[in-house]
Amino acid sequence: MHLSNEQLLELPIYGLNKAQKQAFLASQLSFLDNYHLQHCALYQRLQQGCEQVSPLTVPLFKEFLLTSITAEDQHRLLTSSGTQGPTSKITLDSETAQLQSRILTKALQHWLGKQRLPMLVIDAKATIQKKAGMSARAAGIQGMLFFGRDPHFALNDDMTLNIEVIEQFFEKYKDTPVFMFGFTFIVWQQFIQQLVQMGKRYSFSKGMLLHGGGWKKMQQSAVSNDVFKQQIAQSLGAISVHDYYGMVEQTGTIYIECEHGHLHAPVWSDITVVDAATAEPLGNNQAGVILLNSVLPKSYPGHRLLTEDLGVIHGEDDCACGRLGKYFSVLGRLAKSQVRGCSDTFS
Amino acid sequence: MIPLVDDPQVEFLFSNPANLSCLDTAFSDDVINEITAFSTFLLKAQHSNAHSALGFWCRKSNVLAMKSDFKSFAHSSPKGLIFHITPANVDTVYFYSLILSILCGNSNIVRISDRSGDEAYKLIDSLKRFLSQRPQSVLHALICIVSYPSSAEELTRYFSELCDMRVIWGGDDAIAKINQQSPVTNQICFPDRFSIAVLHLESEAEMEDAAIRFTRDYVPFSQQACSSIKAVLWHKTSKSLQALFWQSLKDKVQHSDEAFSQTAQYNRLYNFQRLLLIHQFSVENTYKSVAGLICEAAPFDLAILADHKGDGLILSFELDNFDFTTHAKLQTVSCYGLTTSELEKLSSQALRITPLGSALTFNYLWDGENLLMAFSN
Repeated sequence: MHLSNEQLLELPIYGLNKAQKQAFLASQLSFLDNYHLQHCALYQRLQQGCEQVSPLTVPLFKEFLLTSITAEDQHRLLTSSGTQGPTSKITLDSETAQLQSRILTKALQHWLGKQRLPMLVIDAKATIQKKAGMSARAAGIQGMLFFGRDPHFALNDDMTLNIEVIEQFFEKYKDTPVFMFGFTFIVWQQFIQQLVQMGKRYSFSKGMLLHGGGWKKMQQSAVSNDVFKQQIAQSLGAISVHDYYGMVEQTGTIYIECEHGHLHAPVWSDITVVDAATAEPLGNNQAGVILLNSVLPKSYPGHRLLTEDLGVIHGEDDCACGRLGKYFSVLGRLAKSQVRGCSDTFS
Repeated sequence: MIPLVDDPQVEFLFSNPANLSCLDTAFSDDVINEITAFSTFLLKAQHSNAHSALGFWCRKSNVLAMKSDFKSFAHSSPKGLIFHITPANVDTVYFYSLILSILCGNSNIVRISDRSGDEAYKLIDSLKRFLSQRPQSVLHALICIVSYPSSAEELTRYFSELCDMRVIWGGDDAIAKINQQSPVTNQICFPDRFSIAVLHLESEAEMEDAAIRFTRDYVPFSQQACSSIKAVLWHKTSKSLQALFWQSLKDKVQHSDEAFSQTAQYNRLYNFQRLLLIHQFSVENTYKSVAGLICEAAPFDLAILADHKGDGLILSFELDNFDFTTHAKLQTVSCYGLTTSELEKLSSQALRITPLGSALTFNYLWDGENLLMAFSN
């Protein structure tokens, strides 16, 4: 049976077992399959001649405006990072935008609690103040500011350490739970490494560092997740560290790393690791391309997406942390193709 | 004399323009000896299929055959210094163009893309190893290979002005950009092209033979060369033989050593979805495997192929008669099982007709240009 948005919001975020979750997802997703077939002509063209529904490859959203709403109903146009090349364009009506934001809130509250905690942003204030085009980093920080209070920015505008602000924040909140947020590589290079160099150590009594944005640069610097966490424990004290994974094409469904180092799929979405050539599912512990299903995208046909990321599923319903659903790791991106056809030879 | 040699953007992968000087005559015994010795060297080394293919192509008998053709052109003297701008997607093609120009007695500057594949660099290593044993070789004065980013317009201008003639392989956009940055009067351009196969099978034996040949025209260069088969037109071939053909192709590609990369496998699916959004055609069936995404589609329209980016995607159409509308970018038609009159009809619609299995074999006649004539006076 198809659930309303209110019913969706009542689901326990990590509380459905495999059978319950697959039954729920099957009905929601097949509703969305039919909905988008009826409301998006481009989606209809993509599905012709297929016995099964084909997931859409994520780069399509960069070139085509895939939408299931009329221009008048468009409430927001989300775009992905604008640093390089074309960006994804995601159309939201007010209903989908609201659902995304309420689901994200619910997911983050599971980890942060309902109280808004004092927040240390591991970035510069200037990052969110640049007027010309909002970067994905800025959008990420803006979004997270809603989940904390009294934000302090740990970096100066030139991305050097603002030690006075950090000291202030520590003095004020060393005995209360805190929320820290930043992008993985910035947290490592501009924050933790600098603290180590200056010989600075803090011992916060409680709190959480949420970080994301990928491990590519960390891998290049040969920093493993374990090393990252050990160094943070030494520099900041009793702060739990959680990586997250997610994409603008499926905003709202966020995958957060548990205490045992595994990313978890929330109830509203599912991950499958598939073979690149056939899009057929692979078994647990087999590396392949990440396919993400989400029940939120109603204003655009983004409910089944074949990402350009590689990952591996470790198991389902049996992570040592006790959360139900699949748990997994992201292994990086597909290698860049060496060449992109004849048309860009001279580059 | 060579003021830009110090430009930090240029990487001299082989030699230096200052070392170059052209020969007095085309197809001299000296040059023929060196090229055929290089052929033997490549064939012995057996580095990769692409290297062996190049080695096989410049073997003595083929070079002598070209020499004998050349005699009939009434050309004899080299043009001088030739500047080759080569494609990244077919990463050994620059050497074919280079060897033809060398045989004509020219000295050459070759610009390879800084995004070239490994094969491009391995060939330079082979050339270095070959010539390190031959300090007196005439080739030392004929070859310079450089790499620099396409954004360095002043370098394109510099090398273009230094040379007597320019050859640009690939991309319509690249050709337009280079001509705008640095117009020259004497040049040959090879713009974007696509290629297809027309197959007529009547037995399982033919099906097997065709599948082996087809693999050679389909898999190399991740199906991105201008001569790579992008679509199959079936002529009077039963559906059951077609299905056997796809099955056999899958087995052959899986066991070939030039399979498609994981990125290619993903990109082919993206590219297929992109084609569905750009063009109006209907899909009757799709088969997906490591070997490729095969899409049985209708109606047949060559325009779709202009947006096809390779990586293992085959569009399959039924072809009842040969009166289809051609397309300006259609280059090669690889043929199997066709009658002489059918081949004649096709040859009026494409730049090149080849037997299935030899589409990627390089010839000095390319896209309607006679390169041996172009490279000499």
